[in-house]
Amino acid sequence: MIKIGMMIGDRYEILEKIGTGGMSDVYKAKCHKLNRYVAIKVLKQEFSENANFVSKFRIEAQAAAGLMHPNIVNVYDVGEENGIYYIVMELVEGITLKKYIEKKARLSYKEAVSIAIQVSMGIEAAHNNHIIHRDIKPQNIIISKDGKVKVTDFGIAKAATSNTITSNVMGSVHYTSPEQARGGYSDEKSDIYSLGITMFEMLTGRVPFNGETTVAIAIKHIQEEMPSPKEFVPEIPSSVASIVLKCCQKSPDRRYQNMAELIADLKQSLINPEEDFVVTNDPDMEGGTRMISDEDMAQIKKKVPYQSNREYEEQDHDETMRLRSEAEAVYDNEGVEEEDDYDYDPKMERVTTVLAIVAGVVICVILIVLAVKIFGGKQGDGNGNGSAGPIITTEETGATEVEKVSMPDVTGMNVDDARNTLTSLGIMSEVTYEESDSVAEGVVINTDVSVGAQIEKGSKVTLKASAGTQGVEVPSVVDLTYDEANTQLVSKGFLVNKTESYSETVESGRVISQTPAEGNKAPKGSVITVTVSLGKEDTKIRVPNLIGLSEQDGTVEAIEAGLTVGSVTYIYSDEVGEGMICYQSYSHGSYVDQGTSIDIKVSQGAQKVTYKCNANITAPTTSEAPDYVSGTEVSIKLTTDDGQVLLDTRTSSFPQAANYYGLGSSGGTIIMTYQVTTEGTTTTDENGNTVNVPGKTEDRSFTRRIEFVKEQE
Amino acid sequence: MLKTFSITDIGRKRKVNQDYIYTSEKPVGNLPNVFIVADGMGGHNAGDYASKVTVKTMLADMENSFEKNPMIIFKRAIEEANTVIRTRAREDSRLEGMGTTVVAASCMGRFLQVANVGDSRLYVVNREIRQITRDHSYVEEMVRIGELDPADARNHPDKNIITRAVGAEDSVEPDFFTVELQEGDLVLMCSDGLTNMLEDEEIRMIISGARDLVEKAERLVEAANANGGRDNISVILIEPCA
Repeated sequence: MIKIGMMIGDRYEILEKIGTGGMSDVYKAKCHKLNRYVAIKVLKQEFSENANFVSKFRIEAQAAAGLMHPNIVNVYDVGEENGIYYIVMELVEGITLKKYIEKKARLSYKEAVSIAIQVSMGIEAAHNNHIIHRDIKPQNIIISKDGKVKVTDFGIAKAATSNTITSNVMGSVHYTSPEQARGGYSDEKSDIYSLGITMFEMLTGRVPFNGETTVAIAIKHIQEEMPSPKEFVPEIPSSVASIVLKCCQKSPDRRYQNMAELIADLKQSLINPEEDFVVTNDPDMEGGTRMISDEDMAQIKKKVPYQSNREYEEQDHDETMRLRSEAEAVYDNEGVEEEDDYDYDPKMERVTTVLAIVAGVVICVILIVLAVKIFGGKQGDGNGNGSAGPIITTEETGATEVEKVSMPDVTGMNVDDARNTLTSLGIMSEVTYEESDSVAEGVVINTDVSVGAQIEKGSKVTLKASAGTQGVEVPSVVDLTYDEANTQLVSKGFLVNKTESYSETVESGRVISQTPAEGNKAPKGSVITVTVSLGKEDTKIRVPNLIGLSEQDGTVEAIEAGLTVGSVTYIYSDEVGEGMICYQSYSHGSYVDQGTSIDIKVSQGAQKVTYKCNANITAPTTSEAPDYVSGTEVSIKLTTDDGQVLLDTRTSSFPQAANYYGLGSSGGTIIMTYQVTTEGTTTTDENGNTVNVPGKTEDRSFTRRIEFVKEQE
Repeated sequence: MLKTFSITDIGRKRKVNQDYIYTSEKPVGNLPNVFIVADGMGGHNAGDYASKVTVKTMLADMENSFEKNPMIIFKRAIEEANTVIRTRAREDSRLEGMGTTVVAASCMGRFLQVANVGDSRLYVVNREIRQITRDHSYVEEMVRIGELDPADARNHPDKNIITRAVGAEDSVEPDFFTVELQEGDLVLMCSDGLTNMLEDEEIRMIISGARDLVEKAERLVEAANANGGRDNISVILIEPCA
């Protein structure tokens, strides 16, 4: 269990809970290593016990961790400790776009477009890394306090290159694309659809499709015509409305084909809002209403969660996803929009879901009946099937299968032709020779794999070929250097072909193997292929440059490269600005093992030099103060060059000790002031009167310079 | 589909371009594609004549070859070019002593067949840069037998002396290499005008820093010229499976 104040992963101190979602809790935490605040998303206990889900959680978080973009809530770290699974993310203080729209009722088109551009750029970065968000909605878009727009929750996004592209609708149903609603293949264009719906909501303050149940809404996405935002807010410029409609085409082929196209149009709409520049892709009947196919319906039904306890217990690999998306869908229905406020209640959900299923089935039946009546049983022959795409499951595609090829007949060919034929099929070959009277020199006698056998690409077959009667014995060149091998073989009249391969055991540059092997008698002029070691396979990674980057950027850079950041120390540096990395323990361009810990030093700016004063202030000298009477009191004021008064006293005893440390300037001045008393005199003026001149006391001062000594750090 | 881009540049110091390059993404005889860099040598116009005639002779020979083994095809073509160069040099005293390097390659699926004579090079560049060919040069041989420190080889006064070339002797002995290409590998073929001006690692960084083949090739040539451009610079880049 997570408690406030506890440390996770030896570096994150949990400070406060800032949100709760269907499957996770979110905490604000402090990273002690990097001295910054982060958000930590902790998988709820009930999900941590599902190994299947946990591995998914990790894989997906790691995919998202590779993304770095100003319009994405960056994921820094993924970890597990004592069964607690967590994702460390950038802490963004702000509100969700959902809340923001609610607060403002609706946004001006300029604001909506500018937010859409930023969201698009974030999504584009993900798409460039083959990551599809699959759950774009205003709840997953954060407007930070300083006005930045960031897309978050790539938690259920999946690398597009992975083969799981299964059925269920993951995003909230209000924003889900028809193909996701159908449970079909979803790709980058599904995110474009969801973004289109999000834009619609920004512009009009409402979602285009609403309904009583999840299923009802899903069906609308599939078959109901998308309304123009202008129908609700007539002053929306026509280009902006066209962009929304193009994003929300039912068929992915008619939408923008990538984020770049969309971004270009969005930008254009800010310049020429009323111009008609949005190109519609083949605007035939696609936009129109059409009947739902029973295949569609079956998929919709399938993706509704909690259909039965049995299915729930099946540990379907997508079950947890489904559960989550449904949780969100449910609270959306209830009008509770803030994701993180949602308190998970399976019972309540089941009731709602059962209702949804009932409603869904009823609608389904009606539609199917209608469809059958209208099309005479030929329903779903149009665009529907075309755009539904293949439904591929993980099980079906599995891990990348090795392609198999059929072994061709190469007997009777000469060795070169035979090897060439095999190579072109992706089959590696080895040659052995034997002397033969019956088969001509250089011709393949037989192979160790029979003709027509299905063999994996990249596997190796051995060809036995005739050396004729004049074969030359092939020497062993294994373990020799390539040069030695080359010289030996060439001197016997062979041609040498060099290939290279990694080897755990053979030193780099030496021959690992040869074909034909030693002892064969091969014809003169035939090719001996030698495989030379490249040494151990290099799994090392290249150290990126961190110097000059901010601590945060450098950390990100290091993690992205596959390193971990070890100790972070703060030192003075004249060369690198404050807050920037000025040292890395492995230099840029060197190769290290994956996961190596790299230490960094961060500049605190140029070192501040300080001075100390260890002086004995001596009594005024006769040259400084000719009329000073030893033993009288002197006022001493010691001031540094930067104006700091160190000493201000009166004394008559010298020397006066003055010890001060950590001074900002290299010297100062001592002002000494003493009193001079003149005795009273009596004189007689010209009239003979006696005049008494009284004795006077006056201040005299002088200045003495004092230099301080540099302090050692 | 295979992608390729090539440039040959005279450099900044030479008056003639003695390099000659040829690329064909389409079949040449029994080879599915052919890429050749030849760096000619010899005074007057002999150098550029040698590289051009060598490439043309090789092409004619490959075009008409019935051989199927790419290695043999290259071997025969290079031998034929050697014969032609030797004959012409004997016939015309102005061409005496001419010769050329040749690095030739053909990409068959994921295998790359390479043949090499001289000190033009073929590299495979990915996260690392790997020189596939070995130079037939005096300093390289010295390094190989341990007489010269690799660090001193770069600036060795005799680094332009090559030990094998097309046209140098009556017979020519090319080296052959087969490379199994990995995803993301880029093949670089070049004359020594590039490699004498840039370190391997610089080459790798330029290649990884540029967006497409055109930009990569142009940046390489620019960088070699910026470092002095003392010789002709030829670059062929091949992206085996784009």
